[in-house]
Amino acid sequence: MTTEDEVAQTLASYAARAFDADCAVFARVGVNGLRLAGTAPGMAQLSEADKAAAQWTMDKGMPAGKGADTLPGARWLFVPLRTARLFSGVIAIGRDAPLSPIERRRLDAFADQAANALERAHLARAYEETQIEAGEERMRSIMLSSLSHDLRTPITGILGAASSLRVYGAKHDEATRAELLSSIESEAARLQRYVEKLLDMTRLDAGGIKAKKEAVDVGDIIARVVQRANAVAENKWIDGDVEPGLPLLKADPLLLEQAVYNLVENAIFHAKESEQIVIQAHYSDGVRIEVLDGGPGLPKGGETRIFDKFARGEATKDDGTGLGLAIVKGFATLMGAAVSAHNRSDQHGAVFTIAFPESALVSERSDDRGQPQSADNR
Amino acid sequence: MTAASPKALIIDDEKAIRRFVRSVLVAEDFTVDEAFDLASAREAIAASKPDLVILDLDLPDGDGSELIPQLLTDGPAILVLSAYDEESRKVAALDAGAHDFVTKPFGVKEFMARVRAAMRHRLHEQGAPAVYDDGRLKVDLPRHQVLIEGRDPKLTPREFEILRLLLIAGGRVLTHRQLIERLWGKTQNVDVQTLRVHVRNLRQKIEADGESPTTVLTEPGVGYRFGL
Repeated sequence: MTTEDEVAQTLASYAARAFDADCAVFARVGVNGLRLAGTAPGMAQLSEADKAAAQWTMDKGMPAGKGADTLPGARWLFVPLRTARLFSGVIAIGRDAPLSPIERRRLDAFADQAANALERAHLARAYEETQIEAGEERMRSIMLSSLSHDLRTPITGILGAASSLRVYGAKHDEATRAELLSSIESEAARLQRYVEKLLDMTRLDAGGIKAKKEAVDVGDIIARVVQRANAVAENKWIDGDVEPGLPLLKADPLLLEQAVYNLVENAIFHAKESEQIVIQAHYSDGVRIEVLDGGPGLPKGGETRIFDKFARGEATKDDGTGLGLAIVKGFATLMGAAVSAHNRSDQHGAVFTIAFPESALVSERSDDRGQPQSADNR
Repeated sequence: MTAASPKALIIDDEKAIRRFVRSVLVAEDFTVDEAFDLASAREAIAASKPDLVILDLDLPDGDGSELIPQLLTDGPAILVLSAYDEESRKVAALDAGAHDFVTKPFGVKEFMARVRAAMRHRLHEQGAPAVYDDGRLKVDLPRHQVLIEGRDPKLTPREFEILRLLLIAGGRVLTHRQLIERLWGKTQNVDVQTLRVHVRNLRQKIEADGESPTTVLTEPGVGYRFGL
């Protein structure tokens, strides 16, 4: 419910009590449109004819309905809510007995107050919407510049190294030739990682990925990720740590593996000084898969935003794509799991978590040890 | 060039780009230093007094063009590495004193052509070759004479001046602003459209094919250069 609706609701409830009547408040939409924004509790439904009468009041800026010059036979009285500048809406009062002249003057005074309150709320909402649009615009521009940088940089490296080899190959010494060749390989691999993520993200955005629900052994998934990650990580060691007897999960094995892998890859890029990355899985009201690193941790307030597309675009410039974590969130959501991130309490570093709820478990845990053990005191 | 090998400084945060640019410059007998951000670049500039600076604008700790004022005092040739969608940034770098740019991605031939033009500019700062002759187009600067296949194309004074400025820039790009200031002076308020009209007329008189010019080349959004 928007603040504008809350204001309309409050006005309607107040007027209903004050005049012992049904009451509805219509708020302005655009220049001259109306929408029903608030009604007093337990009020009778407004008919299409009633709504048309409200619109007539808005258009003409004149009261209509019971006790007014226009439509005097109706059950409702419609009064425009007029500010100094414009009409901010219409208030409708429905009562079997017509309003007395004193009540009518009180209603007009009330309408003056209500008009201003409603207009302020309307402006606040319009302002907020503009802010959101501006935010999205900025997002788009960050996204585009990030995209073009991430695609262009490896291409520049590859083309440059290849043309250097072609034109100067004979002049280069053996070490330089080897360096240029390894540049071509590593930049192509970087481009490949980026394009894969871009495709994943595009398919997610287009709703083209359906998550399977198979019985999945988390231990298998983590073992595969550990193997893949250790093959590419330099100066780092990735470890798996799976609680024995963890129940099977209803999940999509490929999506889950990729999601966990992206978390590890994220740790490899962002926790540069961290030598060890641990993937833990344990039971805690469902199954939690956590990736722990020993890096600098998350910036303040970054805990939720970090899963947004291109969140890194503003802060850092590195080998990451800005898409990995957004894909984790997308895949997890498809499988009914939740993602979160926070800083470690035992040392510096970050923890990224994919949490599957109890309902995603296939079987009871094979050994019931009563209290589930937490990951920290093992 | 001096007898000792010229010194180049590569300022870029991308290892792969530093690597291949270094390989090219080493093959061209430069002594090469590298820096990866503004801070390390400032140190390297002070320490090595480079003859050529390869400058990426997009550095992790700021905009590479911040270094240009510091560089101008020692006078190295400055070649900017930029992206095609960074028009306003590369124009700003050129107007601040950078000598030329290459757009990523680029091959080594294009890169070395720009390096040579930027270095040439530095060495010939005071004087340009007096006569240019490519067989079809002949420009005799001291005599203010232009011949196309032996015929006088009858250039207006402004058209001749545009040709002269681009020619003495030796293949370096000149920004719209640089051309306008030199043609009309700093105080005149002349827009790019007016410059374009003169360039179009010049091309019609001297290019073999006005539709695909080979002598006066357009750098979209930036300016013009002489096609050597």
